Amino acid sequence: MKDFLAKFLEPLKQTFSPNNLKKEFRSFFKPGSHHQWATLAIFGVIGFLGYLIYLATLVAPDIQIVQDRFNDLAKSYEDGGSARFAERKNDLRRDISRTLRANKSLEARMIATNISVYLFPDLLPSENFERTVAEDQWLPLQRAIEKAPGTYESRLKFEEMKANIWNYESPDKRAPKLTETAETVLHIYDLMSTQR
Amino acid sequence: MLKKFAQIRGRWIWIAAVLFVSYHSWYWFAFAPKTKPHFYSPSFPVSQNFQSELILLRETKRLDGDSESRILHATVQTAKVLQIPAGLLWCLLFQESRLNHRLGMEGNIPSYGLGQFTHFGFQEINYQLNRYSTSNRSHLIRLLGSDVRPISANSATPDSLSSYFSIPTAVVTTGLYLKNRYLHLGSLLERRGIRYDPKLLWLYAVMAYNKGTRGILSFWNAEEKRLGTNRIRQLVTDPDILLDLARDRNLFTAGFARVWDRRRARSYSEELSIHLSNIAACALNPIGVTQ
Repeated sequence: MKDFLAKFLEPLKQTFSPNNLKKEFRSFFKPGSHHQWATLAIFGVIGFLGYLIYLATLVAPDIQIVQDRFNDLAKSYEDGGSARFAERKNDLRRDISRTLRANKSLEARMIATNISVYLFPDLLPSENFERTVAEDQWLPLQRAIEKAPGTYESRLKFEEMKANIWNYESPDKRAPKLTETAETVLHIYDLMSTQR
Repeated sequence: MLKKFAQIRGRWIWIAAVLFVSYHSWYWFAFAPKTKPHFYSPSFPVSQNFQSELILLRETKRLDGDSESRILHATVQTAKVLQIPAGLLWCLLFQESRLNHRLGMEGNIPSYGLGQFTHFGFQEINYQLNRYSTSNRSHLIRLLGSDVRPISANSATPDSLSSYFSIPTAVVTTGLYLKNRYLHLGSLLERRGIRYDPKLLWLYAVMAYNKGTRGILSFWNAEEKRLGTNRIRQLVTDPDILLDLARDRNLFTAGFARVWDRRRARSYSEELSIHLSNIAACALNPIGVTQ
């Protein structure tokens, strides 16, 4: 099997070796060179591969990765403070943005939308009713907490945000409940606003 | 005549004015509120079932005459000041607690009293009362005599005006919270430039009181995605469409399913439909609705 693979890969190795590429590039500019079309083909292939790599950076990550990054936000604050949290939050925002733009499954888009409601409402369409609520009722409080974490004022902001989210979301007074997304967001800002 | 018109100065202003009036007339008639006067019945409960249940509560002494009349008095006063349909407020209290103002006093459930208020509901009333209207505090003072906050589920002194177990406090607090839901939903629609019928919006406010504003907004988002913005206009101006929701137990499911897993979404959808049909049966004038 190894021999077969070696035989199969050998011509490709020789063609795309640095020396051969240099030779092909130089010979391209020699007049009448019969290598011109072959050289074009080689660089065309390299260019196409480069384009595929670029496309890959635009592709939305798997929703499980997005979910994991979301769940790890609290830990990022615990381990690295506000700076690490801001960095991870930005990474998550980029992932959520791609997921919402990409043609992903309904489940993936719903997860991304629900995270956006609580953390990135500006990623939601302007006609989404929940966007307005988020921008009014918890986004300013989150920003205030992130700006001055661990202070008495940040604790007051957190308690206000908690009441806002509970009143907004809980559908059952006898068995009050929040979604996991809401609980995770509250946990993050609970941590951030706790005075040390 | 047309020749004369063409010679009139400012004829283009006339044409523009005619077009303007025509467009707005069409818009008004297309999306005008379709509820009749007396959409809410002046006497309540309306349906025979609720009347029978009320009689049963009296006969089994689960509701005494004094409490019942104090609840009714407080409801009428609160409804007048806060401009809530009185029947709607009464029916909400009936639906939530069967008019048991001491419900939850033992601390065995996380919600309390006439309106089944929660800890976070108290927080809104105590610390964010004027979020949706700057008049809320003055209404509270007018109805209870003073600013009695902080209000809590105080079972040690249940007759104190700061306790939610006191009848006037429970009714006023519930009314304010319901009014906030109404104002919040209204402001969201107004920001989108969507006209609504206030009488129908009260029904949505009652649903938001029961199941959270998120349930209502998720439902609106789902319907808008499915059928466009005109669907939202219909939902908030046409009572027949809204009351159909009460009959179709699954219509809210798509909205809840945007937030919850499918099983919970169906369960909440069913509960909400039942809640809406109970409120409608209790508070709506059947003649006003069906004519």
